[in-house]
Amino acid sequence: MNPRIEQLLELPNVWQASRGRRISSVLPTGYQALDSELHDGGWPDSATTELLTPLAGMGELRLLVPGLRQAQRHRPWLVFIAPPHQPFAAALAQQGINPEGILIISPQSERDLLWSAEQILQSGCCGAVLTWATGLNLTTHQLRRLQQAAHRGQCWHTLFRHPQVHRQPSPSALRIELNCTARGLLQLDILKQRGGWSGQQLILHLEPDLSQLQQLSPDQLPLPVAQFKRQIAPPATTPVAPGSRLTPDRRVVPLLRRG
Amino acid sequence: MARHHPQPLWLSLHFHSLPLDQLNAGDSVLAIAEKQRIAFATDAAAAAGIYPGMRIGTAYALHPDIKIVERTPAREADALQALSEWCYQFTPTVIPYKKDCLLLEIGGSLTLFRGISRLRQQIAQGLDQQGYHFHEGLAHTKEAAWLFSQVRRDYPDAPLSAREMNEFSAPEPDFWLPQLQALPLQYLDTAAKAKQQLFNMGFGSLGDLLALPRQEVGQRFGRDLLQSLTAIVGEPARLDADFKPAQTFAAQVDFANGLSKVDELIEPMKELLGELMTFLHRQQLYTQGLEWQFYYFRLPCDRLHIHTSPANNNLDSLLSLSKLKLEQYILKAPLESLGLSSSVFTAANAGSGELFPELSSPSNQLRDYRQLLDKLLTRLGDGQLKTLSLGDEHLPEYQHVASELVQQNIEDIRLPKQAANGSEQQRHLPLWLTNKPVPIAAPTAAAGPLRLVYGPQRVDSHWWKERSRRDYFIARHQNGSYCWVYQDLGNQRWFLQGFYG
Repeated sequence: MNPRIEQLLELPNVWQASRGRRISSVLPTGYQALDSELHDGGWPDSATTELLTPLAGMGELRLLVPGLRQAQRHRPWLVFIAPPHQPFAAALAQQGINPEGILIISPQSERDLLWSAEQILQSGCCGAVLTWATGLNLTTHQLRRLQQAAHRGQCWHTLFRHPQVHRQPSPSALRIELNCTARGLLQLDILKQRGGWSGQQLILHLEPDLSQLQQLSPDQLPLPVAQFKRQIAPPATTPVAPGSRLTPDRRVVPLLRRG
Repeated sequence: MARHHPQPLWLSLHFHSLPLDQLNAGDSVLAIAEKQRIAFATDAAAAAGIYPGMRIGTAYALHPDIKIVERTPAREADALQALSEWCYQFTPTVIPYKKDCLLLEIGGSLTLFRGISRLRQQIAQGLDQQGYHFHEGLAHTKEAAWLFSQVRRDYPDAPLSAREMNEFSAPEPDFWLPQLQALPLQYLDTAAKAKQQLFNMGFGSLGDLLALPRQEVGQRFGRDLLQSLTAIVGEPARLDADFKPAQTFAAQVDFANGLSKVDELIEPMKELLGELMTFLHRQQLYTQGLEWQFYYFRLPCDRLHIHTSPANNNLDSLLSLSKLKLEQYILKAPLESLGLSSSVFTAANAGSGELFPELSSPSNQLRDYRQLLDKLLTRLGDGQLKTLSLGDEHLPEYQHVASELVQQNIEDIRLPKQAANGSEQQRHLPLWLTNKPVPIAAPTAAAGPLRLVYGPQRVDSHWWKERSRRDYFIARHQNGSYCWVYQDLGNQRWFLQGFYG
């Protein structure tokens, strides 16, 4: 090949579809399915990842937990900037994250938020920074500053934003839109990845690990719920006498065995 | 009239022939040798022409029957110890001095022993019976008493005091002054070289030296001589205290024409911080906080406090912290002067640098992190930063401890330990916790926003305070997300406490 073309191809800003050079330092997401869809094979370590979520509490933290655990091993401090709720110390400890390494910042204004995010990112002493800017309309210029700060401080930055900004051009290395399916699964739409194709869509089974807990059967429900269930029980599938209980009725089982 | 503070009176007993006396030499022809030379000789030996400094061989030649004994300092010390014990009957203050001398403070014993003459007589009689020879010296200080007892070696018949003394009370210090002034300098207990220097300069007596201003004596002949002089005279040592550097830092820059732009403040700030850094460096200190003062021509002075951690004790960090603080400050009027003060310091530990600073070690990370927290707190103010820790409690809201971070306890922050891999059997807690449990309507099975799917898990706790019994359920919101709700069994009400984020 022409050596001049070779030189050009060496430049990082020449887009070569999936042939592009991979960033060496990534943080594995902890999910095989996601890693294989990502061009670099993990969360970009020194850049901003935008997660577009309509609301908090749909599995976005569970998505990040394996990465956070990994990041904390490298640098012990994880910073939450303007989180929508409190990160639950006991739950984090259960997931293998030391809550003592967590710093929560609640800035009073947008200016303070951006300033603190920039300072923390470029300080280079924190393992991960999670910023919630769901209610803010960040400009491209502001996004670029955050991205550059993350690059300078070699810090994994996750920026949560509202899905309505997905058309806005963004310098972030990775943009993923998160949605919750009706069945409670997390759906990921990769909107942009640096150096690779985007447009992948995948669904992750990120249900909370509830194997320890028992699935509720209606008779264990607290009283008002059980009553309500009985009333709306569909008669077509299970013909039951009016007034009797819906599913496993302990008073009935012994009779059947006797029979 | 009773005197509350009786003047001290020191009696010095100089046992000039202690090595001989402790051997009970008596009238025998006896000498004590030290390093092959005669050191002490009895009167009988002296009569035969034997004197100290003579070679042993010469002594034998002069008097073939002479008994010569090697000197034993240990036995002399024992003898002095025994003498001290014997003297203890006269006064509680007995001080052995220079291996052949006892100093007795007898000012308080005069009444008990019915006057100084009787006391001296009693002591002399006792020592005479034991076979000890000695010279006395009497003065108001230990050192002067010792000097007088030395003089009597050469002038055994000199009177003990120049004037008649009161039998029952020690005289005032001035009483001894003429006697001291007349004292020849050769008896002074200083190095021979210093004495020679004094003679060469024409000083003959102690009076010559005492006539000079003390400070001059100290400067010219050294502090040791000054100290022994003041000890002899009994003056309190009036030495100049060492220079102690100031314990606070304060500096100020004045603007003759007033200063109205914040930008123009940066240079003077840098200057003042530079001065502070020099001060800290010289004293090996860290500052924990500093204060900027803004003095206006007419308005009252404004103060800005900045807390700092040792990590930030360098010019650049202090300047950037000050700039941060200044961003929030608006000058009210032209400024007359800018002041900087600092008074809370800690001793600096000279930190050891990393051999390979480019590798980020945990201690470096901790330092950087503290620096970062300093910066954040300076800009955002208290109450915006929180840290998490685990409480050892049963109720979820008490397990979760969020504590506000303030600048004072930045130094307490330690490197968090590597977390264990999490308890495998328990991973069902929600990652998000609401600030307070939110009251909700009772969830239903099908309709309504929340549907219970898992549970219940009963928590019964705090019966000693305010008992709370709760059944925890996991509910699914209609948008698909999971929530953590509980029913308070006390009042049957439902609350939302977390989200499975």
